[in-house]
Amino acid sequence: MAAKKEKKQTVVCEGIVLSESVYKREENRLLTILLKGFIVYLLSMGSVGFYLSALDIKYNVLLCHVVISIMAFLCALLYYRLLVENLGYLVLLVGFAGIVYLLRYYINSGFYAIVNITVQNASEYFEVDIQKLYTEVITDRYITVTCVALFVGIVMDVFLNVYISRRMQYGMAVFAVLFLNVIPLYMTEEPSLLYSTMILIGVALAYVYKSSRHYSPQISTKRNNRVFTERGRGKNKELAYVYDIKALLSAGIFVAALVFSVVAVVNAFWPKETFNSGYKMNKYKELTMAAVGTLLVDGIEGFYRSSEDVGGMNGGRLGDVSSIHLDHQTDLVVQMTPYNYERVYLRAFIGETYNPYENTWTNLYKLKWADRDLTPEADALQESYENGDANSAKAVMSIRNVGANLENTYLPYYYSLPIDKDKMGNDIITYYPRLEENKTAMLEKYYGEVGSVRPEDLEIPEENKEAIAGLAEELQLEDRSEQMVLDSVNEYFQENIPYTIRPGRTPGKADFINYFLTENRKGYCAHYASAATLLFRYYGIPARYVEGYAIDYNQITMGELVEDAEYSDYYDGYSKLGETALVEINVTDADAHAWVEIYSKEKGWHPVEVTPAGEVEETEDFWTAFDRFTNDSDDDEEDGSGGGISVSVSDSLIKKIGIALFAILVVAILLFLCKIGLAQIVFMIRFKRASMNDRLIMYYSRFRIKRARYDKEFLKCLNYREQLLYLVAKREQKQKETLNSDEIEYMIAMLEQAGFSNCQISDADYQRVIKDMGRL
Amino acid sequence: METIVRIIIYGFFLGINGLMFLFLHSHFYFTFFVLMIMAPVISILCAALLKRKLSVEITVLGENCAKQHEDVYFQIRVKNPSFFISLDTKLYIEFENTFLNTKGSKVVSVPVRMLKGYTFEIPVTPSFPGIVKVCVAKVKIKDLMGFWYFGKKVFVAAEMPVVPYRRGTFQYDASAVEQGMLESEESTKRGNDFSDVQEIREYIPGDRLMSIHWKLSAKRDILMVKDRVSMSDKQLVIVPELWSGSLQMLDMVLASAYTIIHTFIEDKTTVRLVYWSAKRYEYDDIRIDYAEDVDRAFIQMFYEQPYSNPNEAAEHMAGVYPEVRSYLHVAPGQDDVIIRIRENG
Repeated sequence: MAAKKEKKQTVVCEGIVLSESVYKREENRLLTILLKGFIVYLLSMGSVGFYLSALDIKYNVLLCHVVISIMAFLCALLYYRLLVENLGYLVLLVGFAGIVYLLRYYINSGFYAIVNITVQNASEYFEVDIQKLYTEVITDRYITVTCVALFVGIVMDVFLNVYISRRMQYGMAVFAVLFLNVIPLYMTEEPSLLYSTMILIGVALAYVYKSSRHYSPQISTKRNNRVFTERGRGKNKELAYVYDIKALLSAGIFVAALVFSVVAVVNAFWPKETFNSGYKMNKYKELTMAAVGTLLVDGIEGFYRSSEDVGGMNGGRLGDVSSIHLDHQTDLVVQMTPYNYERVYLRAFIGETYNPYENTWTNLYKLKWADRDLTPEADALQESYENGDANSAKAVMSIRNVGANLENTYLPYYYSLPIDKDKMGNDIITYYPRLEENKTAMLEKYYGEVGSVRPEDLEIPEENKEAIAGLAEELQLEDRSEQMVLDSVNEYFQENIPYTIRPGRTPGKADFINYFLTENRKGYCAHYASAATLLFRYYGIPARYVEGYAIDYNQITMGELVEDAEYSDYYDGYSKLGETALVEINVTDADAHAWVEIYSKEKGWHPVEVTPAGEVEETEDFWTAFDRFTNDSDDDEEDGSGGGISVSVSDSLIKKIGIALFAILVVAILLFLCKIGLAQIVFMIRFKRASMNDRLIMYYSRFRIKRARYDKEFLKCLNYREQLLYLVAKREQKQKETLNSDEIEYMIAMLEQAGFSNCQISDADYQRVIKDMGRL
Repeated sequence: METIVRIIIYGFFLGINGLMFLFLHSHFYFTFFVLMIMAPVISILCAALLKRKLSVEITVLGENCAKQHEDVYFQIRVKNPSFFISLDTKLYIEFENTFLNTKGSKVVSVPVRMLKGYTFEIPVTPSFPGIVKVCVAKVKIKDLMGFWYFGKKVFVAAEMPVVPYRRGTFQYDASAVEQGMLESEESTKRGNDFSDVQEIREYIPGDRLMSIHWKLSAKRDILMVKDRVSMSDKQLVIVPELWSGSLQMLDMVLASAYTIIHTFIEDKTTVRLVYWSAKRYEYDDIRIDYAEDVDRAFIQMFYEQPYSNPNEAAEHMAGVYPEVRSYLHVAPGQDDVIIRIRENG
């Protein structure tokens, strides 16, 4: 015992020992423990509320706040004594397990409810159809979600308490709190500001307390109330206070006020409601979105695709693509001269016969007569060109395949055989574009030889008839003209079946077209083209499914001009754009496309577009956002939850407080500037009006105030002599140039004359003193 | 180093946060990011302002002097009139026994509360007599986020004289002292005062109560004292050697002298404490009549410096005090103090 006592003695120097009584000072650590419990509550409740408010899930907010806070304080109190800690955790575990067992169906259903709501939100965000929803045994979501919120909150209390009460490990706390909360944020669902603020305050408090290194009486297993302890090793050993509740509390209030101010001001200027307005998703998130979409729709299995897909096109093989993955790499390099504003199609695959449930189109090129595909149309247009008809033209296109499927040949409409190759191995294709609905190219004599429409071009598989008939019944287009049918189908698709690049995979035993039309009712070009092909056939219009690339006019205009190329070598005849130039266009997988070509007597086989445009992201300009910001009160006053705490109202309140805080800050700065400015102006006016003596005294007063601000010792000097001698001594101490004794005496005399005599000093004296003052 | 590590870790978290914000473009992460940018700036700014406002005071608690081996309490008040807080302010405290010229330092970490600061006591136990001086040389204020320390020189000090303890039993030639000092004892024993009044003057704080001329004071309505001059040249003179060779031996010399003086004072014998001032190269001669004078005499002695010659004080006695025939010499010995009557000259 004596040895132990000896060990505790701290010798501060030979003959002076720090008394043991310094360690005997004690403070009640209960409040410190409760303060840590409060941090745990902020983080736990913040985390739970964050997720649920972001997804707008209703639950009993008040009950959760009360229970989670009580549990947080109880957990923190476990650290009062080592014995209490061990036994307490044991009792807590048993009690908690019992309650969880009793409420297992509620908790289970609550979890499923939250997962289902999350999946539904994800389904909307990713524009995918997710069928896998969990069955909730208890359907009252308000109760079940409340149970889960309490369950998660208590688990978080216990977990965070270990890290916060013991070591203030803010890093682990941040990870635990934000780990799952990234999910709603990923889907751009922002939480209530109340919970954001709670989390930020909790993390900030943990960080500040951790940085201070004076937060815990539980450094060792010995739990005592000592105020001071020895800390550090060797030279760095110091006598440090263990904790001080008043300091911790005042620091906590300061930090909370700071965080609250930042949240309020940020939200006032960048409201979360308009934060993402006009924002275009970054490419990295875009890349992950496709993967996450696939994961949501098909699970892990979705990542193991059994077939290739280039921009969603797969040689007539349908239904195997959950979502289109674009790499935006160049597939074809096309050189051509633009001649009108219309889309240029490059055909690669022509599907004539649809194979239901196999979900494939049979390639026309596999048929014997495929070499005559479009030959009559091309011949007719060629003749028209050679006859010098008004709307006829001859064009040459160069295509280099750099990344597209090598099995296919990519050809524009109405090409003429043979296809040449240049020195570089590029396909040089001569074609005769149909311009201004060129009717002069008469087709009859050419069709007579080859027979243009085969029975397959009007065939609808038996398995698809019901779905197609159902759609046709909805459209009611019998006995309508071909153009009306086209327009109506387009309109129907546009209004009723949304476009998405993540439609999800067609289930294994389902038919692609039937599933698209009757169940999924969303898709990309291959879906629309396949369904429209059968629908056109239903109305007696010969139709074929085509895959390839589509180049839009604006894409052509963004191409590079090819120098040293003669326009006449590549184009001759009518051009709606006048004489243009040869342009090189990089065609990527984003340009891969599927469309329908239908047959008409006037034009023969020609492409028609049935894919609706994708959704245009709504953008909001600054003034609209500003308008929303200033007139948001009506929109924000929805009652957020059934628990009595209005989440939206709190957001609005925080925003208003933010504006008020900012206004106060601005006013304070202005007042401060005014005070300085006003004082300066008053001084200047008085200075101008003052006599020479008064001017010198005023100038010296300012000089003295300025010096005294940084040198408290200077304030102790009571008269001119003492003050000036002090300044001179200080300058000398710093080995800087200063005034000699004569100059000092002169200055003192002048100041005393100016201060105490009626005799005015001269301007020269004034100037000299001012100059000398500068040397002090 | 700690600060650098903290800044690196903070930078890492800031980077992660920034990446999360760029990736998710979330309002929450944006707020978090702004907070992470703003917080260090505000934290450092507050610490800088706190530095300007902060002041330190140090006082010593208790009586005018303390006893050796008993605790002395120095109260340090870190004053903060501002709203700014620091959870870790380091006070660089220097401890010194100015008599023995021993020095040491200690860093004490305290909080600085809003508007109040912090007050605490540093209890020290002096092992040796002398003047214990505690000085707060500088403070270092750490900002709330722990990124920066702001140093400030303060130089506030307080001191407490520490008088020796009384030795219980120790060996010295008591018979010689009795014989040698008999005459002196007789001449200076109180109630048998052979001294004459030299002058009567006004009371000055510090004057002995014994010297007050009560009758005259009552008449004049102001305290008057009698200045006495001893008529006898035979007085009990104690000469301690303030040898710096060994602090332990010096401690024993002082304790022995202190004990002897107290013994004589209790026996109502006035003594003269004569010690050698190495600073001024002369003796200091203090007359001690009462017990309260002993501490004062020793405190005065502690403003001197010990010297290296173990016989320094005795060597000059004959030259400076030829009239003193003998004195009690308290000098360092091999293992213990040597106390003996020395004939002067």
